Amino acid sequence: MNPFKSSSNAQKTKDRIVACVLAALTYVILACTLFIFFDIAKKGLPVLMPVFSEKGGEIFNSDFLTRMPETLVDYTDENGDKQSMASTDFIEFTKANPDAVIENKKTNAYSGGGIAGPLVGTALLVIVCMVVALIVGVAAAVYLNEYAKQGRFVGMIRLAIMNLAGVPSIVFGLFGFAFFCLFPLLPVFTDAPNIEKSLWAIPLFGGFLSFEGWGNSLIAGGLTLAVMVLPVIIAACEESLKAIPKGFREASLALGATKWQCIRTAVLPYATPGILTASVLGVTRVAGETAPIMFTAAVALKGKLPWEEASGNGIFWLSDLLTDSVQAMPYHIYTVAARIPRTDATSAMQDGSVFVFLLMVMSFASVSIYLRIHFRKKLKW
Amino acid sequence: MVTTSSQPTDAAEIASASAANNPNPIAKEDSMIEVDDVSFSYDMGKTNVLKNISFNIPAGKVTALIGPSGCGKSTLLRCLNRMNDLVDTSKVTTGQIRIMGQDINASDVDPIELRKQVGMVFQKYNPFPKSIYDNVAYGLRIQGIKNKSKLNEAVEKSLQRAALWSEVKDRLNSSALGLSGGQQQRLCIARTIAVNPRIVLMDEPCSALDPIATARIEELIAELQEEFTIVIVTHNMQQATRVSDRTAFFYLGELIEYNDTATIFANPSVRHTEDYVSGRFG
Amino acid sequence: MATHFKRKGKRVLGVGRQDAIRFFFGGNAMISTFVLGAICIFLAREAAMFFPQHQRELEVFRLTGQEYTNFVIEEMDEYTEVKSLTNQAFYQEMNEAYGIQRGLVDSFGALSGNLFDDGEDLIEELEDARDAVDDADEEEAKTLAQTELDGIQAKWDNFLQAELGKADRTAVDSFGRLGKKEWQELLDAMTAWDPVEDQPPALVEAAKSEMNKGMAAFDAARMLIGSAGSELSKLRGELIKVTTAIKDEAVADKSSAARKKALLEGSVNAATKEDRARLKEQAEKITIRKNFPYAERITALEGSREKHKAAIAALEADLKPGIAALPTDLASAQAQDLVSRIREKGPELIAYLDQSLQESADWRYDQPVSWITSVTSFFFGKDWVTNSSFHDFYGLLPLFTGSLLISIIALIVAIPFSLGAAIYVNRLAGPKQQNIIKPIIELIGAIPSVVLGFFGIIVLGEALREISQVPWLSWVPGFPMQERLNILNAGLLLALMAVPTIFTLCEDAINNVPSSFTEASLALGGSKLQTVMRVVVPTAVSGILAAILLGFGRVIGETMVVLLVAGNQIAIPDFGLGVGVITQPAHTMTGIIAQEMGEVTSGTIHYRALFSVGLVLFTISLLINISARRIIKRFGLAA
Repeated sequence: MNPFKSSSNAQKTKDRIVACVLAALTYVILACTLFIFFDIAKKGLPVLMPVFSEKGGEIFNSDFLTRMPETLVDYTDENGDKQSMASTDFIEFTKANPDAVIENKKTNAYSGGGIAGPLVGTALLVIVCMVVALIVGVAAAVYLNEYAKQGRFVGMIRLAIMNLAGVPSIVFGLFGFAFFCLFPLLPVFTDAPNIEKSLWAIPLFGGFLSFEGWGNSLIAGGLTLAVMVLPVIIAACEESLKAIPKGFREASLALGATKWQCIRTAVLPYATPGILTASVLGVTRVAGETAPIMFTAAVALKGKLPWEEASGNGIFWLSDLLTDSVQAMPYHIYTVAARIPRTDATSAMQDGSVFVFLLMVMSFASVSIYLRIHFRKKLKW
Repeated sequence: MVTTSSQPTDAAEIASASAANNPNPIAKEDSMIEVDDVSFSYDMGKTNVLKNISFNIPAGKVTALIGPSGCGKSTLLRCLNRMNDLVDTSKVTTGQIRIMGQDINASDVDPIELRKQVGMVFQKYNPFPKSIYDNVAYGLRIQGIKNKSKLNEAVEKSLQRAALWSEVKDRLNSSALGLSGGQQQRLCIARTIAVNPRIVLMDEPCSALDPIATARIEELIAELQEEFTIVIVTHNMQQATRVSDRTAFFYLGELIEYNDTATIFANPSVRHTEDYVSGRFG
Repeated sequence: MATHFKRKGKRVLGVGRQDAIRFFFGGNAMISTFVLGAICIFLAREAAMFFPQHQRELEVFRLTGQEYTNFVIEEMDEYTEVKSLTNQAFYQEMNEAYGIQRGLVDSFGALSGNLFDDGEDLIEELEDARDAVDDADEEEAKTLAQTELDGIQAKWDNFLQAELGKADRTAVDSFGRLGKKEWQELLDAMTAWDPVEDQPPALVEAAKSEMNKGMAAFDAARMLIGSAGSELSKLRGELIKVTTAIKDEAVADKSSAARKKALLEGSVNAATKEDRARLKEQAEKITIRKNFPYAERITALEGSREKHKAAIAALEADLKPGIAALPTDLASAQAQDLVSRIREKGPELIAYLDQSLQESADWRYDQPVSWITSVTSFFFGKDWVTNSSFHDFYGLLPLFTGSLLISIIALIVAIPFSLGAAIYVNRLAGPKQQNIIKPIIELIGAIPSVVLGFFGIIVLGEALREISQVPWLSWVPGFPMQERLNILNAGLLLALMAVPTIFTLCEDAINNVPSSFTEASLALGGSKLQTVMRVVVPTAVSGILAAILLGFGRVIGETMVVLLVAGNQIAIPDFGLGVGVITQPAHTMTGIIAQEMGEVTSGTIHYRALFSVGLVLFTISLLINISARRIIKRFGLAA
């Protein structure tokens, strides 16, 4: 009766099975991802908000975010209960209670206190990196999209950008180390030039401008990260510039605008959403990276926040700030995860840091994804 | 020419009416496709791009659908093998399309089975980036035919029917994309008829081709007419007169006039049709 | 008229404002080119300096005879592998065939040990009391002592009863070798145990002799294999000592000029007279030679060749019968497996030893080292050993193998998932699903690798190990895992990291397949999936290939996950295990840089070796990038 009745059941079943397999593959990926997020949150949230832990406690452990990392002391008290506290607290505690019973005392490096230092360090690294990367990246994108005539020169630049995007981050680390840390033509303002390293020291403003390389420092790490993230920024900016209709430029030029006026008034304003997206994307990339800063900027332990530690005035203070090493979240996690054995006492620092860090990076990533989708939908010229 | 088309006599009545109340010139038992009061929408029924179309397409003939751009002729063609299913928000809002007596939008119709019987040739020739042989054998293979000799036979036959065999028999395994435009379109026709459909839908098959290639396709259509019911959408009036037995004229989603091709072009009963076929608009 | 359209604005040095702006933008665009160039230069410079330096190191390695020593060391290593396999097989077999007996013996040891510890005072008393009884001459004293002894004996008996009652089977018999019945029997037998005599109960004695008897043949073969290398081992020790001394002297000699100068300077500047005199004296002791007399020193190796020959002969003489004497019919399947591997390895080892002996016989200390050796021993060297007291080796092979293995596993896992997801999302999922799935997969790309590494240590490693210890999974190659941090663990995490890259690019490629192809297929009666599988995927294949390549680039360049999770064991994994090789730890090219870069001094050979590894990584990533773009360009659709 019906000539178009579905006939080949075997094919139908096959189709259905394949579709199910494909769906299963997709959802396994999602399940793994969500499991990781969930697992880290489950372990880390109670550190930040002890109210969720088994023992219960205050709603928000602000110490964890505002204190510097330090050594953790754990011991057994007179009731046989395990106690653990940061070393400064421990010293105060023993001063206040000289008779306290302290048994099985153990110290665990980096596992006490909070993560203020690494948080601030990461923020500074990201700021230095993004300031440089955005200036250079936006300018490069504008050049490639607005000025350049397609030719060998531009082809070469594009090729370099593409290839740069695929270079492993550890290689950027090596480059940053060899160039920003050691290359002796990079100047610092200092009261006392490093005699061994300094190539040349010019007396200036009551101090010296010494050419001695930047060493393991905030600026070296920030610039290494900037170099790494440059291709991402350029690509994202170019995409947003390309989306601006030619008509805008032509209209502006036809009214007698110079090239720069045209870019300034008819191109860049409309590219701002794209540039914003690019910068959030850049922050996501940069904040999570460990390898490039491992030997260009990061140290495991610092006593004070960077701006407290920097000495001198004016440009000397700035120079000191920029050329001093910093703590950083990813490096801090590497240190506590890889070098400190996991015990009941040390796990809090590990879980808490990982949770806060993941939360931080994921929020930036979500914002960047949201912005991109949002602007792509909205900005159809 | 076995159609029993009854020439409408009352010209005044026709002139006042659109296709919806046009009397059916084809007897039901001879028609391959019956379009019955069909309205169609791309946006879940908010606006109809086809409005209450009714007409019957005879078996074993070439029927041309003509009309200015955007009149809905291609949409109607794509309704016939349910290619419009690909658009999620598309919907037949009223009426029925019956092919061989079966409502093709009924729930027990498998669009895949339907398409095996209602083949389609597209405006822009679209061979797969595979060899010529693989292109023609594609439809058979997806039906599960693996027998080599059967495939060989079918490929050769289809290419011969599409008048392409002599040109490509020495390079069946080279890429289809290396053929000329006209050859590629004939390959697409061969690919379509390889699965032996009852109906072949052609959506402006010559619009991307030069006049010589067009002429060859037109010859081919005339030959194929013996085996298949062909429905062709065309922009080209001359082409419609050359290849088709019957012509339907669409305007703004409505069927204005449907009749023997000769009548439509020589003696249209509706003013609009006359304006269009004589090139006054379109 | 023409002046109306003349260029306006100031020009400085012929450069107008517009030009300056243009240069500013262009200059910034140039930076990426500059950086790429600078990376090339900085890496290539260090690498270029590495190879000559490496060549000199290898020269010293040869001149000091350390290279000869290394023959012996490697021979010893190969032999030790066979030896340890034999031991493994022996204990596996013993546990399988004589598990209960071994359990009895070990549990008795543990129990009596505990008793000795806990009842130390009591046992001493008991001993003293017995001595007192024996020493007592007079009848009266004897009775007195006897009474006392009886008291103590009763106390001991009580103690013993109590202790045995408390004894925790799982703690004592920690491998769970004993059943409930055997355990009870042992406890019963122990009640009569005397701590002073310390004679094991008959039950234990019987078990011991049964075990020893049963394993005697195997043990004899094991001993034969185990002792075969004693002479070679001795020679190894001697040679290391001698050649290292030569090297130390040579190195000291090289820096003698600098040290002398420093000491002389110091002697002039020193504060006190005595210091000055002392430093001067020390300086004068240092003799500066133009050429270090290697020929003279190398004579210390004289006779080594003969000893070496003899040692190898002795080794082979014992090894062959030893392996032949290994029992064939074993109770434990694992032991059987190991023994058959030893049987395979035996002849290989002997062939290797003969060849090595031949090579070492042809070895000359004064043969020049060519630069080719310097290059090949970097790229194909099997050892990466740094900060060694003997000699530092910079061989890329173990690192390269590790990186490659991990990347391959990551890809094998990631490709089906990402490709499947790309097809599903692009062709099958509705817009709602797409809007959820795509951002989540994108989010994966943003997970910091150090966090994934942490997850690998804490969760995945533990989970994998537990899965691998499930008994009915023991047929899986490599299970149960020896290490928690291994290639598989790292590979799985990297697979997750590769998913966003491969997924996004695959999805793009699939999306770019023109709809005319899909329509043609559907119009021919193809189902949705037939269309996808037969038309869409084949058409997108170049894009998919490029996606896989770029995914490979992503994983081989990843650092933190492998540094944290791969296990960091610098050795070429044992491919003898077949697929099971993936459960071994490994080290990687990225990992080694991250691990060692922070601790090296710039300019040293170690520093430069790390840069050379970086150059290799850089080259790989460039090649991958370039070929991916080529593939897209050449085979891609003109979209």
